[in-house]
Amino acid sequence: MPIRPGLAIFAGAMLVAVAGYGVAGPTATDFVAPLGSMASKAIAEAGGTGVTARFAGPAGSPSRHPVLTGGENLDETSRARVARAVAAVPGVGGVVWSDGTLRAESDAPAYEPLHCQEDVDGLLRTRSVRFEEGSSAMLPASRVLLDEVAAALRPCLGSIISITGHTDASGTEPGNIELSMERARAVREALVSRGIPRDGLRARGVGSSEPVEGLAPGDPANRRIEFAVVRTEPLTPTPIDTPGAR
Amino acid sequence: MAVWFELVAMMLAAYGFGLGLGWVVWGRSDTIDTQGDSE
Repeated sequence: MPIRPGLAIFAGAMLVAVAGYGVAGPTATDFVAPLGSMASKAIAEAGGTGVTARFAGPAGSPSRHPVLTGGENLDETSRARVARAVAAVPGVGGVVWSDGTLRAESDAPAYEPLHCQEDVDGLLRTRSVRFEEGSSAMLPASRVLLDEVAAALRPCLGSIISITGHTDASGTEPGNIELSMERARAVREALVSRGIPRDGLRARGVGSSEPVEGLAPGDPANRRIEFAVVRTEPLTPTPIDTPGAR
Repeated sequence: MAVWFELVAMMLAAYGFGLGLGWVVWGRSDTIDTQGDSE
């Protein structure tokens, strides 16, 4: 009688699964026990008084992913040190705290504040990127200013830099939006030619809808370009990579 | 994650890998041989 291949494969898989379960059942406890004693030793060495590592899953089955309990009176640094010590034991998988979250937020590298925004704002406080009237052609003085802006933005490579073009209220608004967009694009191209990667630059034009605070919409000083450095989120390490205090 | 679950998952993965490898090494050549015999 011919055996259907699909059935044979499924039966084989079942056999493998049952064999795996059968092998793991009696041996898992012996496998996990040394991990428990090594983890206890590591906790003691790391100064984790009152912390215990439980090598069992939610259903009570032996597991190599310990859940740490206790240590409520320890400070965050000590808890992180204890978690790392347990994670460093060979054979131990991901470490989690019973009273914590899955994210090792307290261990996330301190984010270095970027000063580019302040630097660019400082450059543009007294000067502005100016254009010929009704055109997206930059005035020669503005090219020098853009050199300085590009130098100020260079440390922020990797962040998204938003370039917003503004116009005054003279002329029609659709035309103003188009003109402000063209000016923002011109600045973007100028920055690209100065070595700032294009993929981090976003150009947009808002026409005369956002005049400078305190100025009349028709004031020529509203013709300007604004830069905003949009910070990118730093990567958060997983608790398996760097076990944390929580 | 329980140890038994990890072991079963790994064994099933190995089983699947073995099946795939076997099919690549022997399964396809068998098909070609059969076609050759019938001609």
